[in-house]
Amino acid sequence: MASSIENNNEKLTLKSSDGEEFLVEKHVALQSTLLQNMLDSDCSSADVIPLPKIDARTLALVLGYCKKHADASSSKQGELNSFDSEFLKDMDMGALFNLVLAANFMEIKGLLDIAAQKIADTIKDKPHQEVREIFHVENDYTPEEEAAVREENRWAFEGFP
Amino acid sequence: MCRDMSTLLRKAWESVSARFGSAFSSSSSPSSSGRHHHNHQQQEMMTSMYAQSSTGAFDRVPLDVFMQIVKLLGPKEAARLSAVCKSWKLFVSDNRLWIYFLQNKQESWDSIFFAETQLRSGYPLHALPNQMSQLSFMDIFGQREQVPGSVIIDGVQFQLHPFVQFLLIF
Repeated sequence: MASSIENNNEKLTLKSSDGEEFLVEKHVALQSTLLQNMLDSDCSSADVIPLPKIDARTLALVLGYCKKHADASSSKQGELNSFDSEFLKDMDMGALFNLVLAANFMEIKGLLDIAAQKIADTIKDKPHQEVREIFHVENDYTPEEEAAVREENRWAFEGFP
Repeated sequence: MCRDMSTLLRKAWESVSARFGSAFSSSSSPSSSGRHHHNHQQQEMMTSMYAQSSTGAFDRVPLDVFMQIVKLLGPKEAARLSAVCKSWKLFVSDNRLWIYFLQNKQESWDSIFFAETQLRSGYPLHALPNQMSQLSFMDIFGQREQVPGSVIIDGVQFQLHPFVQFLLIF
């Protein structure tokens, strides 16, 4: 019994929206400000913490990121940078959006920053018609309205179709 | 003078901040310092403000995350995103975004702000917050982009002599 309590001080259990449980070391969980605040306020450390907005696939990715950053400490920034860029490489848009939402919800600033940068890189230098297609945004402009918006912002459209 | 300018800036900031409520996180305000904190329940989603059309993959994204992405893209990309759909136009026209872009330009933000607010309101120099909220800093940015060193007063562009620009700064 005593050992179980001791164990709870070192690890905590997170539960994804689809019911999968993840046992996480405390120093890894501290990468998340949300979890840090929960631990600071001394609640739930012994219980299972439900994360109803985050599915198991996304949570596994998030925890992989947290573990790498928690273990590497501050000494190997170059290694972390290359891990970060590999981490998001070839990730499909759906998974990337899930990751952004999870990082935002769990308040993991580093992960939110690199995921937001990845989405920005996807938009950069693309014509707005292509941006619509990539993100499945419905065009609710009439052709006249769209032409008027372009005219208002003519300075930004030079060289674009 | 210096203190007046900061008071003016703060008032302008508050007036534009009030328009979109909690859509921006508190950390984007220049007057707030300290750690980032927000209430998840109150975070504004992309669709809740403008539900008529779908913002696609961004439907589930909190507005402050979208704004973080737009800030990374810079002013030119942001202006072009206004042609994507009506709700994106609404989001990328937000004055706080364009104040951010103006502040990050090379030229002195104080001189831009002074010129745009004080010349518009005339002499004596009264600048009421509710008048400032009608300024579109996106339009101002675009017009200044076409003719550097100019100010826009009620939609009319003035090319200022360098000496006058100098006077406006001090």
